[in-house]
Amino acid sequence: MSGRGGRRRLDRRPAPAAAMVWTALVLALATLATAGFAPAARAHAVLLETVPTDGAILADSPDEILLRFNEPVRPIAVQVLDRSGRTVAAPEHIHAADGTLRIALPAPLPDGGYVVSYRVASADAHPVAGAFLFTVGSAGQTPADARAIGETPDRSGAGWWWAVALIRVVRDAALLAAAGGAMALLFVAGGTDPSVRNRIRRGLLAAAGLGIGAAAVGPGLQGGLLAGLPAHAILEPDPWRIGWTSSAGPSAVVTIAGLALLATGLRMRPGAVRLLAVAIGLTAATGGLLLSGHAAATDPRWLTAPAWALHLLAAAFWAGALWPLLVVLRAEQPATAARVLRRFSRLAVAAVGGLVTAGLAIATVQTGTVTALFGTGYGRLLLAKLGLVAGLLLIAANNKWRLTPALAAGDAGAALQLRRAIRAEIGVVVAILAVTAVLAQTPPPAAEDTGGHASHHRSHDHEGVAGRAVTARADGIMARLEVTPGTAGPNAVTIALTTADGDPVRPLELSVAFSQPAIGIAPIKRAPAAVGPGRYRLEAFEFLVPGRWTVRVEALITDFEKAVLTAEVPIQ
Amino acid sequence: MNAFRSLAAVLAASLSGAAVPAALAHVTLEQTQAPAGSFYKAVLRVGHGCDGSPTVRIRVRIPEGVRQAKPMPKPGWELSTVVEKLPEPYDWYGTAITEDVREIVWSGGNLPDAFYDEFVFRAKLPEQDGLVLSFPVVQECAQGVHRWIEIPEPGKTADDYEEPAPQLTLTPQEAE
Repeated sequence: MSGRGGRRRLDRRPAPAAAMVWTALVLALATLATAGFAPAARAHAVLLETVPTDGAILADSPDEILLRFNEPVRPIAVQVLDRSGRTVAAPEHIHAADGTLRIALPAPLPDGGYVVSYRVASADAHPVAGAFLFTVGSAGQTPADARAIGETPDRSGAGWWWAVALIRVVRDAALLAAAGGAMALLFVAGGTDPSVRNRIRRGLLAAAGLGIGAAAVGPGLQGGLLAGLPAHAILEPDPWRIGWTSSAGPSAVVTIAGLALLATGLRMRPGAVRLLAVAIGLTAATGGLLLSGHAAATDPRWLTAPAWALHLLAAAFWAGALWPLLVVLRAEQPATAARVLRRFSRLAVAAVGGLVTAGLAIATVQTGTVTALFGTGYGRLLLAKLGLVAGLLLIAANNKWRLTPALAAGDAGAALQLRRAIRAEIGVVVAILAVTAVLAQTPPPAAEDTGGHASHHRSHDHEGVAGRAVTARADGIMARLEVTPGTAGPNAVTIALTTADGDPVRPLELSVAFSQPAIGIAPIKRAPAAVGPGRYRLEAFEFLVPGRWTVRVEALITDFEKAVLTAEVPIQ
Repeated sequence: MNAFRSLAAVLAASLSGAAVPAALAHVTLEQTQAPAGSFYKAVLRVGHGCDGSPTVRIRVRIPEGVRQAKPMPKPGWELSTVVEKLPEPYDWYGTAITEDVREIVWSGGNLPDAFYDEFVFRAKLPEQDGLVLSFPVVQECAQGVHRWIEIPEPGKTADDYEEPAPQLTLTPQEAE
């Protein structure tokens, strides 16, 4: 945005603007390229198995129904419905212990089809929902139409989802403005008129207030989303209680406390105490965001936690300084404004470096393969965000190497052009925040839930996975199988092997066998091609007939240890 | 008549071949039961190579709890062992043992597919009777490899698997 201190330096470089443009392009491309070859991480709770299994046909009524997840979950709405949509198990029959959800059946179920619909909160406070079917008695009563019953509660999430995304944009924008603006006020805006600094301070206090409000409302909306409640329930205590007791609660408390401390600091006299209050306040305000969401539950923590903190602080400095710079440009003489811009620019170079490095690390952990980057909603959103960041870098490069020197040289038109450019930058930042809010709510590719079940997320990500997805588990290893399109005929089969924590497992060898024992199709062995760490793909496996196919994955972990994972895939 | 007899012989051979338990074709232990806490002479029986290719290397993994494994030298084969640190040391006649043999490797030999051979080691078995120990074996051939490492799940037997690991069941200790 401004000249990098001193003309001498500029003189030595004949085409600095072009250099910055190239740097921006290379950085953006490098980010894109590396984001593709990253191991997948699992952020949400994953349903490991159910008893009875999906589609099971039982001779007699089960005594209880079990749902096992890979991590502790909290039931939000769990119900067992018969074909007419009547509930057959009351909430007091549902018990959760560790990762197991147990639904006791008070009386034996009469013959017929049943759907178990669940909505639970995982440790990262994201809702995971799905449904599965089973039949008691003869197979003729398999409730094909019951699947629709299971999906009904998921649709109610849409309104909440947008509300949560919107409030998140408001909160993040206010937080970046307050935290980054405070940094700009303390470190950049020196030498300006006291009235200008007062004006900035008042704006920052307003932003902090807005941030506190948004942070306080957020958990209530999150609670509504988690519980899948109707919209008017926002006036009732339920969504608030659910939201505040999820991981969104502590996150909001820390953010609010941080913003309050920041605001207090801004009202103090200049000095060490003020500096300390502002520093602690803005660290807490941004740090609070890390206590919830994907960031809170993504391993390896030692990498993701500092990376997120660095990413947020750098983003806050860069984005938050824009509005104060606009105020300075409007109110100050060109010479003073140019000095402030140069001071900002020197720090901004470091901030952008930190931002890109940390963003790269996070993208590396969160996305899967190149296919995941282009083939899933999460990947496409990430690409959109990177595109916007590249655009922002281009505007910044123009400001820094063309407009700021012009302003310093006394060009009157430069101030106007700079103001216009900074307003454009603010617009792009808001767009980035909007994409980020949606990103934060869309599960990373590997975190989508299992079993081909209905999922809240998928209702917003129709193109994510069409077909069948199931998860098998054995010996501490999980295999996620995706069969597309999931109908008889040739199908693409992808296999992702991870530990229960989501780290990729790299076997020495991997083979897969397909069979349908019920009609006497013996195992058909295939060797899928490795397409990434722990990721394998068969381009076309021919499922000859519809029905429940058994897929057996054999992974050679060490020379002497083989993990065998079996799953059933329904083919239509 | 001769032709008839040889036809019958071929038929009988193919029938018996089908009926013979798959175990004969596997790498197995000669003695599949031994008293808990005893010194056990393990004889690994190798009945074939890999699809006609000769066996050139045999590796066996010693399960946890089995102590002081010692291979018997074998003419024509080089012997080596892989020693690993133990999670917990144990007392061996007054000496604290902190590391033990976890893998035995016979290499450099050549056992044609048509011949049979045995690979021998001795070890002290754990004290718990009823315990089932698996000795996973990797059989490397000039071309190809067999991994006798499948461990049957509860309710299944070695016969349900293509390449099961040789197993040993510990019986009650013999009276002193």
